Amino acid sequence: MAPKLLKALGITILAFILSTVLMRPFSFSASAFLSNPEKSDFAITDFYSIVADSRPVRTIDDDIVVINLNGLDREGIAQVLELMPLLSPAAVGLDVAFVEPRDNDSRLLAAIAGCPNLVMPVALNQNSGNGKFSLGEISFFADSTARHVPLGATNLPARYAKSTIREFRTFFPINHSIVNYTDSIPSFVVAVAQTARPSLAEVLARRGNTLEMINYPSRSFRIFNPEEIVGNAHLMAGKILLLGDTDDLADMHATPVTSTMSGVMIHAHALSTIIHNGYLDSFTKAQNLTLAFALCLIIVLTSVMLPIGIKGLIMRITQVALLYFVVRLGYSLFLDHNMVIDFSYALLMLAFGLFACDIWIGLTNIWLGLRRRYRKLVAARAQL
Amino acid sequence: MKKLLLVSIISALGSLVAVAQYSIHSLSGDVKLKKGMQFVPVAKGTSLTAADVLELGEGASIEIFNTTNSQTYKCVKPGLSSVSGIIISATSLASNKGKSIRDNMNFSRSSASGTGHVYVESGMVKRTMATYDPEARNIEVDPRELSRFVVNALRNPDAVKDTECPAAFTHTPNPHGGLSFSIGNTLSSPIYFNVIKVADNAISKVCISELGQPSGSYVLLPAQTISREHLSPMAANERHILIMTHFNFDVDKLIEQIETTVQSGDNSIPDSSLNVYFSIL
Repeated sequence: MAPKLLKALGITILAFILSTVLMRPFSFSASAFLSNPEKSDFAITDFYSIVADSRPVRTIDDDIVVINLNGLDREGIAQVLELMPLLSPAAVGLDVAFVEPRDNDSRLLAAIAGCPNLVMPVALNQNSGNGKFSLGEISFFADSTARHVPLGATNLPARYAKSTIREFRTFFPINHSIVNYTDSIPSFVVAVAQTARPSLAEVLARRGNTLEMINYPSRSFRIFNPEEIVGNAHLMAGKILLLGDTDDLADMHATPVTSTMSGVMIHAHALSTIIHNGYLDSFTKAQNLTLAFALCLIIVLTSVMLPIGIKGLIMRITQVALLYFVVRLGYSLFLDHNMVIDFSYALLMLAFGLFACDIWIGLTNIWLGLRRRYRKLVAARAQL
Repeated sequence: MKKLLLVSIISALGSLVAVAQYSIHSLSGDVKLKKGMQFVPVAKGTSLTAADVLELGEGASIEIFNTTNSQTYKCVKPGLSSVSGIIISATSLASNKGKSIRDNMNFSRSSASGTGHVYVESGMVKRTMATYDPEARNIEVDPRELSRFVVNALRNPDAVKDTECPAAFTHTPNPHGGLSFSIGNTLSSPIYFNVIKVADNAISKVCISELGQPSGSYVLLPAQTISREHLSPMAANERHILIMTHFNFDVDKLIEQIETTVQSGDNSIPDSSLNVYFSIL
């Protein structure tokens, strides 16, 4: 048993080396296999999210309500804000920046001053090099409001422009002071959570992550137009209200569950992740590699132990079964325990395991053949 | 306004004790509620009991909201189903992880259910489009998704009754029996629209309307208007339908795809993330 185990270990290590050398041409295979059209922007959580979101049962978030400000001018937004005190909201996240003053802003400014638990947005620019941010866009009155209105950065992190939004940032370190913030500014959703649910914001802070994955699947929100506020006030009283444009084409982003989602809806999902403690915890790279190594070792050991006659059939069945097991396990952990396993390593290793077996056997046979010839040659010379 | 808000909050709180446990959260297509021996149409917000029986037509869908746990349960299966049956079935499907994975796992790049992407790359970037709408210069609405929406709307006009046109749109018959329309783009982004027609409700025989724009679609930039009038009398058996979207679409591809969708018997539910406005002139 021990020699076979050592042999299996050696083949598994060979498989890892092969996967490292050959990984790049095969890296697209996971996305094609799982039919993700975005071949250059794929994460394993996208597959889990798509599957989970396709279920016929969804949860309407009772704590967060979105008010669609599409088509409203400043006067209209002021009218909406004037209703906020009557709803006694836990927090009001206004995802609209008023960059420049205009005539007749007095009503808007008064409505903002009178809105309870308000959080205003700020857009930041990332500075290349030092990883810090500087001020991009902010409402013109941010410095001058009589009371300190918390600010939150609305920037959404992505690998590149127009790529999928999977995470939200917790805090943004800043180069220079912005209003009352000297070292860092919280993200918009963190600022809203700090206002509405300080204890839950503390839980987020204790996690200590710069980026947190947004738990998108199977969650919906009540969205109302301004004219529907009065008739549905009972559904908004005491809740967290997010005010923004759900139809703004300039603020549409790709997410794992849909190709176009407005910024305010992404904020709603991120906020829901915080409020309902729906954080997703990933396996570390070391843990993912360990899992891949273990699965590869299982398949290689099985191959080494089996007699040659039935080996081919059983190995193919084992490979497919393990593949399904890995996907199923990953999905179950994602859904039931909010854990994320990146099984792309495991998928690769299942393929490379048998490849490495064939290479090992081939090289071993070549070596044995050469050694036999060498010994014959030596024996023949000795006879002479 | 504020007094009205206060009164509505107080009365709503008071009526909470009488609120039904189930209600219709959303629906599309032909959905009816069985009342005795009759079937009556239902709308969003209709209260339901667990024993109520619903009839779903081909291609219809319904989501039932449970106030107790704030969850919605979706059903797309045509035929008769009780509310409790829908909830049990949806819950069972949701917990069947193996089936969920199998339904979403396939070996091609295209979305199997057709509910993936509603916008596609349009191929060659046209110079004029790059000037007109640089943000969306190489995007067009997926003609297959758009055709499903059009077919569904033509089959179930009541389902799209509440779809409000976001632009300033008016249309009137003119004294000679013709038709005219006027659209003003009050949005902050371009809008694209075209007009097709259907004769004798034969959806598969859709073609471009006399008021339509061949090869492509109309486009209006923000703060632009357009008016068009057809003076000659229109045939009484023809329906002229305006289709408006936020991205470019090719009317030739759309007409071809509508024919294909009808002939293939495709009853898929249109993707609700596609913003399409639909109006009969």
